[in-house]
Amino acid sequence: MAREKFRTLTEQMFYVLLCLRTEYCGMDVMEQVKSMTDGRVTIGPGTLYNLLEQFQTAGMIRETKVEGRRRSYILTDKGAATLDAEYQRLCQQAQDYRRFFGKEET
Amino acid sequence: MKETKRRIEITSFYDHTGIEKHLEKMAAKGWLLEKVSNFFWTYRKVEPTTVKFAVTYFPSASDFDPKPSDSQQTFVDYCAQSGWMLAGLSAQMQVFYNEHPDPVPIETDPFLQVENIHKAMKRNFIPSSLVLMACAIIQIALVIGRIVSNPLYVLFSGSTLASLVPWSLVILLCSAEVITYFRWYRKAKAAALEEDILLPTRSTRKLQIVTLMILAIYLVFWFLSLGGGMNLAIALMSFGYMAVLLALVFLLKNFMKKKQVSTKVNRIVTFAACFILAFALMGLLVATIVGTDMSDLFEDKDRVETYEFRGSTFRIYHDDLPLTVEDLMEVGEDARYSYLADRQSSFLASKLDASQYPTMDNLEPPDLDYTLIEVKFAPLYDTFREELLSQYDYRNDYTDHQYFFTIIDPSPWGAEEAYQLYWGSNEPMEEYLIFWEDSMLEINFDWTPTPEQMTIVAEKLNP
Repeated sequence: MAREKFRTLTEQMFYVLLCLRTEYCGMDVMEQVKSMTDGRVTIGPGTLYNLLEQFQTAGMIRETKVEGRRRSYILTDKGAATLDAEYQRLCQQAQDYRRFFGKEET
Repeated sequence: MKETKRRIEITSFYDHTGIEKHLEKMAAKGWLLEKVSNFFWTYRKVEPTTVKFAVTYFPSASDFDPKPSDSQQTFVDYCAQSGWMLAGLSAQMQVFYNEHPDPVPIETDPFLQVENIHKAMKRNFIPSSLVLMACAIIQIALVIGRIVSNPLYVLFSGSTLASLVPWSLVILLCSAEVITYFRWYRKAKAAALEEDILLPTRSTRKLQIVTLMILAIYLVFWFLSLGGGMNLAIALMSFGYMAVLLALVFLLKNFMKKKQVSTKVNRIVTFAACFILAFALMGLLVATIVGTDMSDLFEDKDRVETYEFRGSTFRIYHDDLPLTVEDLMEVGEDARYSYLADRQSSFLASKLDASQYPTMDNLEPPDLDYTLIEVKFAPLYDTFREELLSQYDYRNDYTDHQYFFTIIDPSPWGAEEAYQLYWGSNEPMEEYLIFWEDSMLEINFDWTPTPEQMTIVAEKLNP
């Protein structure tokens, strides 16, 4: 079944949006995500390019600066809401996990 | 020592896995990809090295782009930051290499990657494969249509039947390519969603190589079978026509790219030029053939001589005919004839059109012409028979004086069946249709043949 676009976020989508709560040049996002996750999450340049393009088309990020071919982006309200919804979903998952194992342990 | 080399790479546009493996092998042998073009891939000599290659697709790119767009260049910049250096671009395809032993892949989201590849394929590979397949189907349908409407012409024509083979191979290749791609796409999409992996593509390279080899061997045999003369000249000119047309169109497209003409203008001009040049070159070819009388260039000089009569030039042919007027009767010593034989043959049937006419300066001696058909594929016998018997039907639709064939005694001809042509109100003509077991004859006499002459005809043409 086709994945409904941005209803849930992949890990890479999540971290790109999270990174862009601060304005960053597209090229720097790769390094930022890597350092934010201690190298656990890496984003390939092609994937990053496509994600930025898709997020921008969906109005989740906006372009803030163009210096030659260096383009900077920042999260929009819509992007922040999507990120927040994903956070809530993850929290709910974590809570369900704890509750489930909590029951198992007792 | 050569520093660069160019290769024709037989590959599928979507087969990124196969292309990557091939380029890694080439680099290990000391040849690093430098440029990708429509016909050749150029490699630069380097120290044998282990590098990773990645083939990606940029859906909005076009083969008509004068240079990579800003957004594509941005993509290239992102890749360069991760150590992926651009080796070549061709339409939507981008080839990168990375000297790092374990680089971050260009694509790290298989689902996005599959969808991106599919978007690129929808812009180029799929429509062009389908258009080529449609052209091949139309060509085959046209030949089949001609066989149905005019089997007497087409089924003897080795060239026309020969064209069925390459077009069938084109259909086979295109359908194999498209089916293999869609099977990969369906499975890759599922694997990306369910397992978060990118499924490697399956190559049709072996099939392509085998098909192209069959095609090449077939064309060589076909050329050899033409034996020279006008048939070979026409075949060579047809190939020359295609080669010149393709070369001109690609040169024009590349010239406009060099001159930084916009993608849209280049695309429109190239398509228009392709269309106009196809007609212009064909016109030029026909004008050249008509204007220079190509038959003079390719005709066997021993076969033909010319003579002048009342200010005009006429030809006398000296072909060998299996039956001549001299076989049937005495002709005067002053009789001068032209003997012309035109043979056509395919694996289904062969046809001999023979004529013997006196020269213009003395039209007294009788003439003779006939068509002898030999059926090699027995099930076609009735088709040819019906065609011969119904050859005047079309003409009868436009005239009050009907032509019709009447059954006559076949025994003098040693035949199974024989007919004579009649015209108007039962006026006999000296045209006969004779049907033997494996062959049939349409013969026109200048006189009324005797039973003895009929027997000689049978002995000569159906020994």
